[in-house]
Amino acid sequence: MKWLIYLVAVVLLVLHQDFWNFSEYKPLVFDFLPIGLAYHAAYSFACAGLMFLLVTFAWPKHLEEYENIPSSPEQGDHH
Amino acid sequence: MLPIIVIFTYLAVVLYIGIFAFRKGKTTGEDFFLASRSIGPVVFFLSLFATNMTAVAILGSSGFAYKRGIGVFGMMASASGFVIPISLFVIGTRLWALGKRFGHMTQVSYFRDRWECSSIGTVLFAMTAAMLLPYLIVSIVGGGTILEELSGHRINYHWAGAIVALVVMGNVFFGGMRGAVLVNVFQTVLFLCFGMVAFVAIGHSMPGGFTGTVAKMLESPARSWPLERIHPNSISPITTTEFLSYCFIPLSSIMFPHMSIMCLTAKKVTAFKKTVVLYPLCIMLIWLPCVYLGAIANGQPRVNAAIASKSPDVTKMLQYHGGVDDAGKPTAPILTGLLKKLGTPEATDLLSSVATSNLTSEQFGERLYEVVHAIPPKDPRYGDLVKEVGRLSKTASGDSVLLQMLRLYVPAWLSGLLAAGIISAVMGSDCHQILALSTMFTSDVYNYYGGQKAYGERSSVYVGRAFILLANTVAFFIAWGKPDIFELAISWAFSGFAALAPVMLAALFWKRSTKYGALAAALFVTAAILGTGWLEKIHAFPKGHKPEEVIINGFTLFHHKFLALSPGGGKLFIFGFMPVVFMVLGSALCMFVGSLLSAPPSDATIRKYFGGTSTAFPAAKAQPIIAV
Repeated sequence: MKWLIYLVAVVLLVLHQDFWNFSEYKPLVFDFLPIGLAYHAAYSFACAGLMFLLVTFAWPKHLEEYENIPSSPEQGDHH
Repeated sequence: MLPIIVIFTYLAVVLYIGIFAFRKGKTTGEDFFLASRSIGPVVFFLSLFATNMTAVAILGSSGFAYKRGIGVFGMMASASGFVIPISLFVIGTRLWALGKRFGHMTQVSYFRDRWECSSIGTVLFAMTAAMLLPYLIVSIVGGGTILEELSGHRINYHWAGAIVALVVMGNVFFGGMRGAVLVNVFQTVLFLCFGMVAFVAIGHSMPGGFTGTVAKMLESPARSWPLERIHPNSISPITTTEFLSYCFIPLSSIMFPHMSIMCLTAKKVTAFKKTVVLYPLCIMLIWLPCVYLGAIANGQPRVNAAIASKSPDVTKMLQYHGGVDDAGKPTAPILTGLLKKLGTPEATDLLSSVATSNLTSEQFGERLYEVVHAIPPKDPRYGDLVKEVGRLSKTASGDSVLLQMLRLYVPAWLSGLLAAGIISAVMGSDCHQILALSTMFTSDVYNYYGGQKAYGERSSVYVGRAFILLANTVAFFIAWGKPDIFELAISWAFSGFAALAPVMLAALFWKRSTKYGALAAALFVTAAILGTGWLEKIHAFPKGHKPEEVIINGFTLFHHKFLALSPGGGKLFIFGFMPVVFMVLGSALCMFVGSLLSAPPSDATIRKYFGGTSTAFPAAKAQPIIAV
């Protein structure tokens, strides 16, 4: 599963280079958003989806063991 | 007056937050600099996001889009929406664990321990501090510019910058990391709420609305260029190679000291989960309206006139009352000639007002718009004047385009609220930058060279506070000359920090990496930055010059010149790519070769950070902390 998500990440990285939209404004999404802008707005949603998959299926769980280490010696007064 | 009252109320709140945080805080260094590593997930997300929201993101993005069109969003925002969360996921979580386990407070303290180096760590400190300072200046310039604009120039730029710098300094001086974090939370909420309202309000108030403006721009090829990335009428089109190059820039995010230090403040590593997922969406929510408004501002004659009135030509014209300057040259000769030739009552009246009274640039912009508006569009003189206004607007800094739209199209109370939101965005990141510089100095210089040992824990907090005063004062005086927001930040800080990302990746994931590899990479990056800056300086056209490409070396490969400066921006391109691409790749190569040619760190250090035993290159699979 982890490797599949890494593959999705690579595909998404490639899809960022939407060279086919460079000299194009049509279609106008909602009649006011040129396609070059609407594409990248949708791309942002896709990125959020990818990040959700990453934190769900490829989370570095072993790091959570450090959560129990006290952050600093209990010293210092309040102002 | 109303916007000023709103803004000053906001500034008072920021100061109060600092004092509130001061009362809550302890007297230890870790509490002042890292809020005792105790930040919860929601506050962590809001604050980390706000840390990255600077004048560049809000004013720079709309200004950049005004000059280069909608492609700015894909080039800068959606690329960041991919790269920044990934870097937080891969690097940020590991930094958090290292900080928690070994007590590191900065990147340099980690590098020193990881590679057993002292003076090379100091080199890295000096380099990162030198690259962070421009970013700090950008924030003060941004804050000062906004406050000046919104006060209708009743507060001049220098006073406005001083007020912003003082409030930021007060917040961080008293509140430390806790103060900066709370300000950032306040900022993100404020900006996301009022930003959306202002976007809708501008769309509602501007003539034709969004749909009508876009439709009007599409009527003529000369006006539709901002809606595409490559267009025959674009002065500075966004090429595929430049678009690709920009994907490297967000690598800088995690390498900015204020971002990496912020990663150390989370109470739990799971706090990163929300941040990583929501980051692309929040970037979109902020950047999309800014870029869109900046691009379609080209289709609004009133905004164009307002921006043109801030061009170097018109500024001189107003300064010399339409006469000749000190060198005996006529000021704004083309515009003056066109207005004289036009001869309408509005044009004659404008020229006479320029000659006899002290018009502000805002007044001039409004009157110029009235002149243009009074000519029938079919009159050939209309086209000439619109063309000249367009030309002038492109020689001005576009950074005020969003503020102009707020001033022209939004009710004063809402304009004030959003302006407070913009200032807060600027100040929130400013707080973190100053604190990061102070943390670095205290941890990497004062504590490292024995200050804390000699004078006790509390002394590091005092030194940190003293450094905040010093750094802020220096940044303010550099910001005095009002350097251009976007150019400065992009030129130095972003490219430089992006090129240091391979150093961090090597430290975290490659056992065999060494201090000499890091030194080679740092020296290469420094040389590349200075070389780029030097080429841009000696070959660039002076400000206000007609935007043209400068070919430094004409050797061509795949239709791209070897060395050229972009038209308008005067930025260096190497075979069509930005220098950052070569800097990142070159830095990685230096790190690799430099490490292989030098002795690896001791077994003890490698065991400390990787858990297993040291092996020769290629390293064995990494263990505990840094395992993927």
